[in-house]
Amino acid sequence: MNLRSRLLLAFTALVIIPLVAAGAGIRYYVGAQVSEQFRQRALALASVIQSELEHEGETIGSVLDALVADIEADNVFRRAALRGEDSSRQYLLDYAGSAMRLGGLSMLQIQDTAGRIISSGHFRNEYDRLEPELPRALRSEPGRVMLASARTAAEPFLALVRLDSIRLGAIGFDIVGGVSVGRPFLGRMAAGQELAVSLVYMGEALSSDSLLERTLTRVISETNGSESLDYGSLLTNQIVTQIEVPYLVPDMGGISSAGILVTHPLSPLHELRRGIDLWFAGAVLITAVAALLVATWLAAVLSRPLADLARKTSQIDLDRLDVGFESARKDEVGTLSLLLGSMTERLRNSAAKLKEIERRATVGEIARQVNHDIKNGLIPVRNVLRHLEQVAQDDPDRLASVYQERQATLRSGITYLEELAANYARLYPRVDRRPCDVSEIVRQVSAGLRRSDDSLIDLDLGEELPAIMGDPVALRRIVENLMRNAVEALEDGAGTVKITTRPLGDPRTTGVSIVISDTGRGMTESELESAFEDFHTTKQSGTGLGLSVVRRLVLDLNGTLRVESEPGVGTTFAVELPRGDDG
Amino acid sequence: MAAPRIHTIVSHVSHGAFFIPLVTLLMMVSCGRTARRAPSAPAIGGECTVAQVPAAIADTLRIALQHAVDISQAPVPNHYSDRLLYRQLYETLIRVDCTGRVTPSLAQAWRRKDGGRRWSFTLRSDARFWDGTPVTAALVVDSWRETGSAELHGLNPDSLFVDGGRVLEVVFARPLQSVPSLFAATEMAVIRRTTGVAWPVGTGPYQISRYDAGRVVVEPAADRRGGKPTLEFQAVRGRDPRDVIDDRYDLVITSDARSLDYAAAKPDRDLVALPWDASYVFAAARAGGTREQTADVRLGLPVEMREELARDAVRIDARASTPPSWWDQLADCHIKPAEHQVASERPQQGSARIAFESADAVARGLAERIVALAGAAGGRELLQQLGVERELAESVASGMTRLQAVALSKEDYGRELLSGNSMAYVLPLQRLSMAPCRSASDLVARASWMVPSGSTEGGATVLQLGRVVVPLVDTRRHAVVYRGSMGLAVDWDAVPILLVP
Repeated sequence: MNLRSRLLLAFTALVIIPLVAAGAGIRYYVGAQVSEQFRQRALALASVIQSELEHEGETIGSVLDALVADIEADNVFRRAALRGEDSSRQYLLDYAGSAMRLGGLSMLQIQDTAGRIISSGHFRNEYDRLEPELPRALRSEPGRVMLASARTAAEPFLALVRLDSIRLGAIGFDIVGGVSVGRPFLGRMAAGQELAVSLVYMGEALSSDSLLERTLTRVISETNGSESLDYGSLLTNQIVTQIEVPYLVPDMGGISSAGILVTHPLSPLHELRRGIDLWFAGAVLITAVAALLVATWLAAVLSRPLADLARKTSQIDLDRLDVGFESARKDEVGTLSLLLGSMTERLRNSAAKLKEIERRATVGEIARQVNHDIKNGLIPVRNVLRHLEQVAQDDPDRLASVYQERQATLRSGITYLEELAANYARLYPRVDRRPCDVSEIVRQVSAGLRRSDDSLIDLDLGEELPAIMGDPVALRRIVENLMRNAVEALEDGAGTVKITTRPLGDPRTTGVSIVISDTGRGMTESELESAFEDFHTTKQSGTGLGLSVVRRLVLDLNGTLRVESEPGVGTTFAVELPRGDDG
Repeated sequence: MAAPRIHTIVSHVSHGAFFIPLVTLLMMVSCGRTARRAPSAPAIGGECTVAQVPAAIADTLRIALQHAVDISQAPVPNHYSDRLLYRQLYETLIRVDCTGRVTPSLAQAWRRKDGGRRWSFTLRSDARFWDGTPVTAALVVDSWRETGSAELHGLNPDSLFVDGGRVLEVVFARPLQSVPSLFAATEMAVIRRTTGVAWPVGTGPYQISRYDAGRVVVEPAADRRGGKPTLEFQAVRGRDPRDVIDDRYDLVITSDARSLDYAAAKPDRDLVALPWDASYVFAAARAGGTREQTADVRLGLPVEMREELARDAVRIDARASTPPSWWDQLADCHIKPAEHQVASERPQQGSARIAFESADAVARGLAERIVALAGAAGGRELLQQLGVERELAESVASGMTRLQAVALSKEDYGRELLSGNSMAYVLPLQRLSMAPCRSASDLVARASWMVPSGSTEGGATVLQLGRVVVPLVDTRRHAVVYRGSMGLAVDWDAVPILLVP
């Protein structure tokens, strides 16, 4: 897991989790508060409805009182009701209708003591019908307002009714008056608020809210019209307050009860919660984006210098210890840079010592080799000399002829020793430092280089290169070895060798780079690994000391040598030489 | 305060010169009672003259019409107001007065030929259209052809013959013993259309001088002035009839009980009860079982119940409907059943409807009373007597099916009646008909379900409306006449003709 991911996770833990906890807490708290408000509103409306019902009962009662007084004073009514006069018959039949409308009632029927309807306001032509049950049931609880179903020619309606009585002559009359309790009544009770007022009775439902009415009807039918239903639990997403009202069921011979339900939908709460969720989700999203951006920025601030340090560190090897770790930062990264710079410095010193040790070891090895080779070369010389001494002692006359015979052996041994000496002389050159023009050296070497007609040496020499302080012979040997190797690496002598010289760009490491690339056979990885070892050669006439010498000469000049090679494509040697001190 | 004079019409049967159903129906005309007061005086002059012609008359008489008149459709009437206006303007060949007596009109004489199959009418020699054109037999035929009224009454154009200039012969499929009273029907009046005039030209003593929405002014025809007043007919639909009476109209015809009471209290108004002209009937659309159940249930309400309906359930001058009615006299009528059916809203399951037109207070009262009675003791028998099938009647009486009286707008009621989707209908019918077959055809066109299936004979149906239509009450109108303003004589269909000096 990289640093950016770790930072992101850390931000998530530190910012989003508390934010989620806060959101959930707000959601719960708001929900609880709003639910309680809804419940209080439902209770308040239920209380108002209770008062309204009582008020309606009083209003109906006062209208009936006035009606009783009017009937008592009405002689036409008296004649029609007591004597059955035909001329007053229509007046009697229409009386309840007029009185009902004037009294602001929805239901009014006048019945005699037998229960016969003599005048009906809401169902004018229901006269003469016998219905003693309704006044009887109302009489059982005098002065109380109750719900009852009133018939009409079109369809029955529910009414809040009350009873009054009057006596004309020897006959008593019951007056049942009431107001309709339909959807408009319930809607008026609900007063246009979010609250709904419903009425459930005898397996039926009415409501100021049509949707709720359908729900209640469905609930009632699913419970087979059971009278004692807990609507609070049956109506989901509603806060329910219930008021019981007596309901007259004359046909069933008694008083039952109807329920007035005051319901407050929880949908506003759900809406509120949805709003909170939406805003919260937005806040979380914004926070997450911000966290991502901050984490990315922090990661960039922290990891970029670290990555830079890692890159520089990866460049360090024994041949490249000039990597700089300078930093102006005062933080841990700056400290780390300084430590790495210090470590590189120590490595550089150690490498110098190591090179010295290696050089000494090499010299010792060479000395042993020289010792061995010279001894081997001297053996035939010594043998010829001993033979000649023996001939000179034993047979001086044959000395000349024997000399002639052994002369070739003697010369061969001497030639070998001369070549051996020459070879060893190349291994340990003498250092003579002075300003050298690298491009000029390249041109000279190129001119004296023996090559086939098919090969091409492409010189791309930089102008105004800084002079390199060093031994011109050593520089010539570096260039000559690398160029000769390149030319000899060409398959069948055909191909291109390109030599490029350029000034080094970095002012602190001003110097010259020499890049020699060929299109020859290239080297395998194993060949590349041992290319710089002494006496390793892939050529029949090679000594195996060329690249080893080059490497040492470059190191002596405090330069670097890199090689890249790919079999079948070619090899590139890059030499970077610092300008060196003038003194 | 002088007591208002209220007249009733005493009918006399004119034996041997009238169409039998009409005679029997007109017998009942005299059975009516006055709306609010006992008759104070017999008819003045002829039996059908209900208001005597005054010695002096105003220059203009104002007559209130309950509906606006579309004069371009004359002489085919749509309602009572049309009849009232057209009766003053256009003439038929003959007239039938309130007693059923046939009197000359455009035809001054008629003769029965060929045992009653052929009838010959001789036109009045001085008959002229308003523009002075003499009325000829050919123009009479042209008039009927243009209005389509002859075909309406089943008269094939090939059965009309012109004999000379003034003689018209009509051939009937079957012999008729008395003069065909259909020639007194309003729509059989003679008219002529002329260019440049929006209304048909007639032959009556008055001609139209001005016509705009709701107002028609007529003046005496040029050759018949002689002191006749101008008549101004004004539509007053929607106004309280009492306001109209107060507005000093010379003639207001109404059936509104309150208005009649109001007019009766005005000393300068006379109230005249017109003949019983409408019958309210109950027609059960689900009458499939009606004919089968007549074995044990007699169709039709007892007279006591009909009297109770007339007395208590409705608020206008009504009486128990008295048979026979024209729909019981359709043995000679063959009606082609209507082919169209109109989809209508089906009543809810568990309910049955008695439909009526919402503007008709009489129909409302009757429908509501029947609903009330159906839910009381004896409800099942009542419904069966009204022609409701047995199972439905039992279901309603037991409370399983809720019976409703449903008020519908005129258009909805028309559709509902045509579809027969309601259990039953309360509807008014014209009580008298000069052409029962024609009236039956009109009724069946409004309610095709009244034609029983399976009773067709050769594509035509012998109508037995008496097995579907159950009469309930008869009603009548009253004329409120400004005292001394005009005389009135009443025709067979309770439409008065103004009498002036």
